Amino acid sequence: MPDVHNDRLPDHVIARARTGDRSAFEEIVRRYQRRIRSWLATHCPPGGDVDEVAQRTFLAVYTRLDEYQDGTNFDAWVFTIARFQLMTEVTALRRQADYHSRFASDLISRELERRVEQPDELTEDRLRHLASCLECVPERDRQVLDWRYRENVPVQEMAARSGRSTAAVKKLLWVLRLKIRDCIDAKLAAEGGLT
Amino acid sequence: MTPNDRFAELWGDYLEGDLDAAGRAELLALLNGDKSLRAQAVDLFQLHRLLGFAHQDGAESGEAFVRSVAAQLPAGDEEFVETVMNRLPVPAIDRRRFVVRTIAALAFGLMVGVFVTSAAWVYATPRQPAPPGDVVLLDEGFESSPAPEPTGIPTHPHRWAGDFSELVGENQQVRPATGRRMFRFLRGDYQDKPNAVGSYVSDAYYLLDVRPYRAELDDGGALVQLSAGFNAASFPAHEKYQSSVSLYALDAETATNGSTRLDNTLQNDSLAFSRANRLLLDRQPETWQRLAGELRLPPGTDFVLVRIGVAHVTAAQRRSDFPGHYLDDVRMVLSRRTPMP
Repeated sequence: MPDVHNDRLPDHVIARARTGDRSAFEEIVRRYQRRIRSWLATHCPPGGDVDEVAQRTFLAVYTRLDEYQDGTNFDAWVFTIARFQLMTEVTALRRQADYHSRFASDLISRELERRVEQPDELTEDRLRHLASCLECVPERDRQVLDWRYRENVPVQEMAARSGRSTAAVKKLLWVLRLKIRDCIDAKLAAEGGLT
Repeated sequence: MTPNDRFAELWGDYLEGDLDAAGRAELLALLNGDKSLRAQAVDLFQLHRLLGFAHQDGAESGEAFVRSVAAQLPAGDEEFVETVMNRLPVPAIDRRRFVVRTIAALAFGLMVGVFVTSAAWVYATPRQPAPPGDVVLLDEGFESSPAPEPTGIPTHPHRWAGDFSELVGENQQVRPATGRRMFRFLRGDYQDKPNAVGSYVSDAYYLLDVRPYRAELDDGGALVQLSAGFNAASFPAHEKYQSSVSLYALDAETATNGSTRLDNTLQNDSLAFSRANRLLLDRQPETWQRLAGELRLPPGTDFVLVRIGVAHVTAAQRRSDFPGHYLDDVRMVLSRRTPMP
């Protein structure tokens, strides 16, 4: 999957997609999916289905390609659609009668909403730094992160696998998250991207 | 214990999905009273999501996402018109009238061919008997069929092939929908499959030669309807599986020259195709769920390729093996619908 952070999408790909060329549209999805999905992952409130919102975003891009004005910023146009799709998801979640009691998240949701206005590139920068920060995590601890985030292993099973108590695994995950967050923040600050 | 320590415990439990109602109330009280805790909670929530994304990220996951979007792209306006027209009630006719109508319709047959593409619709209802006059093209209970061939898309008619699968009797508390045997999906790949890594859909294919019905096909008024029963052994509540049925109308050369076995060519090289999915499998082995799709056959159709599959739905669970997914009672009929003017 190419990292297309700074790679502008050629106009002819958009033009072909507009005529109904599916392979051209797949090229658009291929180029943007990582950025859109990671951005949505960090802004979609608890209970939201990130990939579903991402799929709806691209389907909206496909059906509204005629509205895109050539020569304007296609990145910004795609992210605007993603923002609208996210807001639709947030509204739908809030309308669920038991949402608040299930996720205790209204306060969280509102804070996430506030952060939607942050630059899109911040998520990409965080993702980039996350990779290098993970390399600094000791191998044994990385294994726990792998179980948690790659395999979705329950905490109780992680405890059994690692010979720790459940509380110790939870504590370890907490500490690792704090360390990784601080590592990412330090790298962003060094680049002047976090004030 | 300081409020920060308690917040760490509660928010950690929240991220692990272990927070109970009392904990939620306590957490809410903490967050309500402290803006910095709210910011920290959201920081860690975003990092938690980013860790999840980073651990699932990769070429395989990206391509799977591209495919999932591509599969949902709407077809052209003509499909919408076709779908609407297909929902209009049209009485079934007998085979003799079928042929007579075919002759009468020849005058505008070519024009019909221009408009006919595909249509699919989904339902999950008990199986209905075929109306009189319909031709049963396939009535498969897997009772006496040979073992399916793990060789991908078949180029020879009237045999089951596709990804790794087997025919079994009652298994994992799943009883065949009919008779004593049923089809079991095993994996999302087949022998010597190129680019097998990342296959999270297990497909079964059946190729039918419909040239004997050519006279009844060539005005664009013929329709094939496919219905199949799906079942799954009990699986974890957080997993989701989706079934799908697809139909492809092919000319003889495309169906048999091996080109359909190349990646991503089937849809482009078909004369028409339809796909019906979105039937999420339930976790009740005692019940079978039916999924149906249909395709209006364009003039020039020589073969119909049936594709029936199950898929891991969420990115987190995607893998190539299928722990207990079954197919039975597959039925396809050729019937007649008034050609569109």
